[in-house]
This record gives sequence, C-alpha cells and structure tokens, in this order.
Amino acid sequence: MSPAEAANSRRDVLPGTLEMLILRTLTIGRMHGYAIAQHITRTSNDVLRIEKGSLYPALERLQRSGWVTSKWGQSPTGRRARYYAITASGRRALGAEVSAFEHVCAAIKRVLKPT
Amino acid sequence: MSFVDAIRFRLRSLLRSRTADQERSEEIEFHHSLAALEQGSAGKKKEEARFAARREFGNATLVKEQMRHLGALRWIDTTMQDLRYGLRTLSRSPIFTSVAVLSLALGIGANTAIFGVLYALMLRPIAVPNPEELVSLQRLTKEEGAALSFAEGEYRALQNASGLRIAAFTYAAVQRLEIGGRAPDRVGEIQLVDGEFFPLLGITPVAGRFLTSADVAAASPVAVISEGLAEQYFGNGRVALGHSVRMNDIIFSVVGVTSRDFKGLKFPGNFGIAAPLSIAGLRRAAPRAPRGTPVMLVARVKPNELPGAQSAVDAAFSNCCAHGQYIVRGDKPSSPEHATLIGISQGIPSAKLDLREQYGRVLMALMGGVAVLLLIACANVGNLLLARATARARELAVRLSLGASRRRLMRQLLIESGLLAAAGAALGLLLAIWGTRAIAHYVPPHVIGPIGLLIEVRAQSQLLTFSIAAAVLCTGIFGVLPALRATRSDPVAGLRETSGRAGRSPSSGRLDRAIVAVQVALALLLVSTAALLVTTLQNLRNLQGGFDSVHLVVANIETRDSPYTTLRPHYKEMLQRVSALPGVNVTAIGSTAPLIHAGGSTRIITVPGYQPGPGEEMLVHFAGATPNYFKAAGIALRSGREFTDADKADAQRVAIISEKVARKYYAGRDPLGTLIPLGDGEPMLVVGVTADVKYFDVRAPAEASLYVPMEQWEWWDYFILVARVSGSPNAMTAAVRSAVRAALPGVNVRDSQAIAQILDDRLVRERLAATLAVLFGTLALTLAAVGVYGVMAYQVTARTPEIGVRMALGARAAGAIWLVLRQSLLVVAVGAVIGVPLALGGARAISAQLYGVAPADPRTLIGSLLALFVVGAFASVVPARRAARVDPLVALRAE
Repeated sequence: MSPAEAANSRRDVLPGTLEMLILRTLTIGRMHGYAIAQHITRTSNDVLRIEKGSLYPALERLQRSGWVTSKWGQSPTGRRARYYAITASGRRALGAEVSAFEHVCAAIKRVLKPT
Repeated sequence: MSFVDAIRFRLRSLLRSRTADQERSEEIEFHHSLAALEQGSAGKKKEEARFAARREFGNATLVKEQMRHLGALRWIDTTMQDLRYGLRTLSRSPIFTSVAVLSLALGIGANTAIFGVLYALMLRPIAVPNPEELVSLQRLTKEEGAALSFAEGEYRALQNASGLRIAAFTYAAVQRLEIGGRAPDRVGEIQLVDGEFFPLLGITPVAGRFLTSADVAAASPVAVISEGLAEQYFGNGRVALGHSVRMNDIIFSVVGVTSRDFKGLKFPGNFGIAAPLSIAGLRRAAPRAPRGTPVMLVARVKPNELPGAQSAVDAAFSNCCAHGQYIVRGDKPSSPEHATLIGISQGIPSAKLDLREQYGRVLMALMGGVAVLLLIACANVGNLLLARATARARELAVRLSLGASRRRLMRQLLIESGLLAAAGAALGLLLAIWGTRAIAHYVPPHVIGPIGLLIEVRAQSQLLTFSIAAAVLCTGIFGVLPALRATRSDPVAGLRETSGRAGRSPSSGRLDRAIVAVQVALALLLVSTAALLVTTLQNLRNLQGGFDSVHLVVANIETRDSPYTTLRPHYKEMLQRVSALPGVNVTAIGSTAPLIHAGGSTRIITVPGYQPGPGEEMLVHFAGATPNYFKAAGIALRSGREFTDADKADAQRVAIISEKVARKYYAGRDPLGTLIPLGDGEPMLVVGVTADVKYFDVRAPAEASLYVPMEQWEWWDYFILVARVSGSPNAMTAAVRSAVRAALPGVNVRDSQAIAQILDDRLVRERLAATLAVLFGTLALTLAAVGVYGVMAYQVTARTPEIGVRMALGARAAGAIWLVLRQSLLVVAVGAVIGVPLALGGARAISAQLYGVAPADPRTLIGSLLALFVVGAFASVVPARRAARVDPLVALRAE
C-alpha cells in the first residue's frame, strides 16, 4: 500500500465528519491540536477517538480552505504551541456541514427504522 | 477573506518549506509531550509513556509528509526538491559538470553570437515606434532604374495631392565642421530635414526638442545631434543643449538630442546631426537639378492601407512629376516614370554598400555551421549522460525499488539535463557578448567598417530568448534518450550489480559509439567547409590585378561641392606638390585606377581590319590617363610608349590599348601605328600596348582596355591620383592627402589609401567567414576528440576483465593498444562514411562563397578525413595506454 493510499483509508474512517467536529470544537475558542483531540474524545464519552495521525493533516486542509487560522502561542505549561481558531467562513461552512449531516443522519435513521 | 487566507497559507508553506517543516515537527513533538504527560498520570513509566504516545500517533514523518503535500502545490514542491537534488548531484561530479557545461557554453555561445549579428543585420527593425508603417517613396525611371530622390518642388506637390503624411530629408554637404570648438573625425550622417521629419518618425528626444516646421520655415540655425556626439563632445545630452555646432561657417545651436538607439533611416545607419532643410549653405550643389536639391521622401502608412496610399501616390505623381522631362540624375530625359511605396521597417538599404546582400548569405552559412557545432556539443553531453546513467544505475534502481515512480525519476534526470543546459546557456551568453566585443576590439574599425556598427551584441531580450530556446532544444536532444534508457532499466538487475564497471547492456555501448560517429561526421562537415573557405581566401589573396599593387597609394579627388568646376588647370601643380613629398617616386592621375570601382566607362570601338561577328559588340573599358600613369600605377608597358606632355588637346589624338584588345582584334598584326576611330573627332593613333589589368572585379578576367590622354578628353570634375612610393604605403596616405588639400583648397579628397590595404579590406567578408569557420572547425574537432576519448575510456574500463584474460593468455601490450585503437578508428571510419555526403552537401550549399576551389575538391576532403583520423587516434592514446597497462592479476581478481 502506498503512503498516499494509506492516508486515504485513514481519512475514510469518518468521511467528512472529522473536519466538522474540529470546526465545532473550535467554536468554543482558540485551542491547540491536542486540546481539540481531547475535547472531541471527552465530549463523545470516549466513543470518538480521533486518529491523531489524521488530526493534523485535517487541520492543514482546514487552513488551506481558509476555514481555520493558526497562530503560535504559549501553552499553560510554558511551551510553544500552535493555537487554532475558526474563521467567519469556517463558521458558515460548519453551519452548512451540520445541516447537511443532520439531513443525511435523519435519512439513514429512517432507513434503519423497522417498518 | 477565506480565499486570501488560503492563498497566504499556501504561499507561506511553499516559500518557507523548511521553517514549515520545523514547525510541524515542533507541533507534533508538543502533541507527544502532552500525550506522554497524560499517559504518565495514568500510572505508566516515563519512557514507556512516551513510546505509547508515539505508537498511538503513528509514523510521524509520514504525517509530516502528508501535511506538507496538503500545504503546498505538490508539483512545485517536488520540482524544487528535484532541482536541489540535481544541483547537489551535479556539484558532486565537478569534472563531468564542467565538461558538459563548457561544451554547451561553447555551442550555445557561438550560436548566440552569430544569431546576434544575423539579427542585427537581417531582422532588427529601425528604432522608431511602429516601424512597419514606415515607407519610402521610390521613383522608378526607365533609364536610371530605382531612385530615391525627388525634387523639393515635387515633394510639396506630392504631399498636397496624395494627402499622405510625407516628410523629406537629404544629406548635407559639409566641408568644415566643428562641434563644441573641436574638429571631429567621425560624425556619422549629417541630414537636412523638414519640419515633418521627426514628428513622422514619432521618436522622442533624450534632451531638448526636435526640429519643427517653424524652424524650417524660418531657416533657424538650430540642430539636433545624436546622443553619441553629445556625450563625446559635451559630456551628456542635457549639457549639449545650447552649445554650438559649426558647419560650413554657419553656427548652429543644439536644441535637441536623439536617443542612442536611433541610427537614422539608412541601413546601416549612423545618424549624427540634423539641421533644417531650408539652410541653403548646407545643401549639395545640384547643377543638374533645376528644381532644387533632391530630397528623399518617407511616409507613414498602416500596412492595410498601403494599396489605397499607393493609388493616391500614383495619381499625385502622374500629375506633378511624371512629365518625362525632369531628371534628377543621369543624362537623358526619363519619360515613363512612376513612384512606388516600399516598406523600410528595417531601414533604407545603402546603395553603395548593401550589407544584407553582402553578408546575408555568409552569415546564414555560419549560422548553419554553429548549429552543427551545437549538435556536436549536445552529442557530447548526451554521451556523458549515458555513461553517467550507467554509473548511477544502482542509485536509480534503489529509488525505483523504494517506490519512486519512473516518471519522477525521468523528471529528475531531465531536470539535471536542464540545469546543465541552463548553466551552459548562461555561460554561452556571456561568451557571446564577450566574444563579439573582443572581435570588435581586435579588428580595426576601418577594416570591420560597417559591420562594426552591427557588433553591439548586448543582452537584448531577443538574444536571451534565443539562448533559452537553444538550451531547451539541447535538453531535448541530449537529455531525453539517456533519461529514457536509464529509467527503463530493471531495478532487480541494477541492484544485483556490484561492480561499477559492468551493468551496461551491449546495445548501450553501440549507442554511444553511434553518437560519436555522428559527431565525427558533423565535425568532418565543419572541418572540410573551413578548409574550403581558407583555400578560397588564399586564392583571392594570391590574385593579382595585373599590376604592382605593393607600393601604390591612391586618392579620389572630385570637384563636387567645391569651389572648382574643373580640375584641368590645377592638376599639374597638384602633381608637383605630391611628387615633391619625400618617399613619392612618381605620380599621375587617371579617370580610374585598377580595382578601385570608380571612374572608367565602357565604349564600343571599331578596329580597322577586324570584322566583328554577327551580334558581336567590341566592348572596351575606356579610361583617361596623364603622362606617367602606367609607371605610377605599376602597369607594365608591353610595346610602344606612355602618354607624354606632347599629347596635348590640339595634338594628334592618341590611344594606348591593353594586350587583350591587341589579342582579340589584331590577331598577330602590330597594333602600333593603327588608327582607332571613336566619337566625333579624328581617329586615334595607337601608340602603346600595356599589360592586362583588372579594373572592377579581381575574381573576373581582366578587361580589354583602351586608354586616352586626359588632356584630349573632357574628363575633369573627378579623377584618381596614383602615387608610387618607396616606403610603407600606409604611412604615406596622410601626407598625400594633405599635399592634395594644400594644392587644391576646398576640393574633396576621399579614400586616400594604400591600394594593398584596399584590396585586403575588400576581403573582409571572406576573411571573416574563413576565420570563424576555422574557429568552429577547431571547436568541432576538439569536441569530437572529447567524444572519442570518453567512449574509448569507458570501453577500456568496461573491458578490463576481458583485456586481463587476454593478457593472461599471452596477448602483448601492443595487442591491447590495437584493440582500443581499432575500435576508435572504426568509429571514425563510420563517421567518415556518414560525413562525406554531408560535407559534400555542405560544400555545395556554400559554393557561391568559394573561389578557385571546387565544392567537391578531393584534396580538401582527403585532408579533412586525415585530420579526423589523426585526432581520433590521438584521442584514444590515453585509453589505449591504460589498456596496455592492465595487470591481468588485478583485473581478474576484481571479477
């Protein structure tokens, strides 16, 4: 398996939703990558464990789309850390993604519900 | 905003990929440390915790790589990587790199230099806005052919009737000139222009203003000078304004300066000074032009409006000018005249010196020659790359087996070739600029003459474009094949190879020898062509005009624009003054002198006792001479006598004929004492017979000549002084000129030169062609030798085990040497077989430039072949000696 293929399959675990989760998390405020991962794991009651190897590429993708910006800052432990923040267009994109996701979820539920 | 953010992000990660990489590492390290902390608090040991965190994170390098690909445009990123890698690889093998770059630099440099001159000569438009719109009005007359001059009255009439924008200019007659109080040696063209001239050209002055219609209407003494003159005499253009230029005792004030790029409308042009057309004191006296000074007309017409403009000119011209009576030059009325508009976007070619005609073909031939040279250089580099690809087979195999795509490897190799070509092109451009400067510097200006105006190869965009195109072409020629071959190899086989010298399939060995054979063939083409051109030059140098040209000084003397109407009463005093100069033995004047291209005319004679065949015209070259002319000019007298002072206007009319006339028309009879009728007067008594002399073309047979005493003919507004000197003729020219000036103040003395020098100068073109051809031929031989050497050296390395076995089995060193030599001679022989037809074709293509040697001259061809075989043998001496020194023990142990 080539590196590129490996990367694809990993991203396919939660197709399209990782970015959404990151964006939602960042609406709370600026945080670094580790905090984002922790937040998602914790709020999902450990159901969603973020593949950390896909977290940073996802953050790069989000920056590339202009939905997230980053800035180096001081962490509480005193080390340099990159803090991410959501942009206005990121919020708009989040709204669109969430409504699309809910739309699909509802559809899936309807299909799964026994008749 | 998001779009801008996104762009900024990409740019940043592209430009600062190294810092971005560091940041990624730092971020991931930070992640690890936090994760380790958490694991640690969950009760694990520190080391273990860190490993657990790393395990969870996965392959950090891979993550970084993925992040990087997302961050930048992947294509550019990997290309930059390849570039950096290529630079590193090339700098690791400096000898290979420098040989390749130098070969290419020589090839590209020679091409760029020749292209630069060719561009300046054939392609460069004159430096005015929209040069394609500029046209000149050319009048076509039955008698004169094409002529550019119009009378001033005609100009106004044409301007009014055609409705076109027409401007007029002419060349001034300036005998005395001072710029800023100094008498200059070279000023360029001095033009008289009307007010429309500069606005029509549309150029802008670098300082001041140009001449206006008001200046012309008022005949104001104002002038525009070139930037070159301004810098030479005043420091710069701005300072020049308001200073004075004195022409024919009229003081002009400088009001404007033209830019350096503007060379005037002539080609080759050398614009110097412009003054208003209405200044009478600068006009050429034109006694035969009753309507005033002839002027040249230029107009601006958009190319698509040309047909309409032409019909407007036709109508206007037939009304105002084509009345069949008026003539600007010539003797007879010229009736059916019409005027045409001809495009002059590249300047008006000079009537006396059509550089494009003279040099165009030579330069095209040279361009072909340097293209061949470039091919040879490319073949060299291609061969080097092939050998290198073999040496790198392992590296490529490793990269292939580690998952690099063939395309990526191919791109890597092509990028390396491109880097070589780029370096070669850059160095070549420098070589071209430096080389042409060196030529311009080394060749004295009076020899290089008008060509010197062209040799200003600056880093013009056209040259840059050309050398870049050459580099791209080279990469295509020498890069693709080795790259294809290298990436086609089987990685398994490549990895299995352990010794550096094996691993090349026999077919690739054949390929490199084939390339060298082609090189040899191309070198043969250049060498034999060079030999032909050198033979031509020698043949021309050895040509004799039939006279003793060694100690001869000539000068053109004419009364045009001078206080004299005829020189008849003055010539004796002048001759006395010149003869009195120390070192001058004998002087005379004639209407022409051998090989001067001036004076003389052609007449039809009749000779008593000779019956011309049907349609035969008894044409002779007809020239006037004074006493001692033949002695001074070095023309041998075969029988009879020279003209003497007794051959006065009222004495018996006499003539001297050349041997050719005697041979053709007298058939063994003695011509002396016979009478030749010519013109209205009494027949002329033949008093002497001279040797045959060439008057016009040193390459053509000598003319049949008939000489008459100048005293007995009307021939006195110009003549040529011939002076036989005893010292170096070059040292005498200035003295002769000033003696003539002192005797005849105000007369025009031009081209006072040693005739040997004139003849030598006339061979500039041939010398240029021969010198450059020899240079290119030598380069070609050198490159071919490098090619042969490279392949043979490789062969010896590759066949060391074989040679070792042979030695072990009792072969002697001589046998090993012969093994190599035979190979190299075989390659040269194959090259010769391909090259002979090439060389013959090339020779036929330049046959117009040859003299006294056949294109298929066997001696030249055999000599060139011999040279190639000798060079081929020499190039394989070192590899052959290496083969002879192969120690069988060492060679076999290495297996």
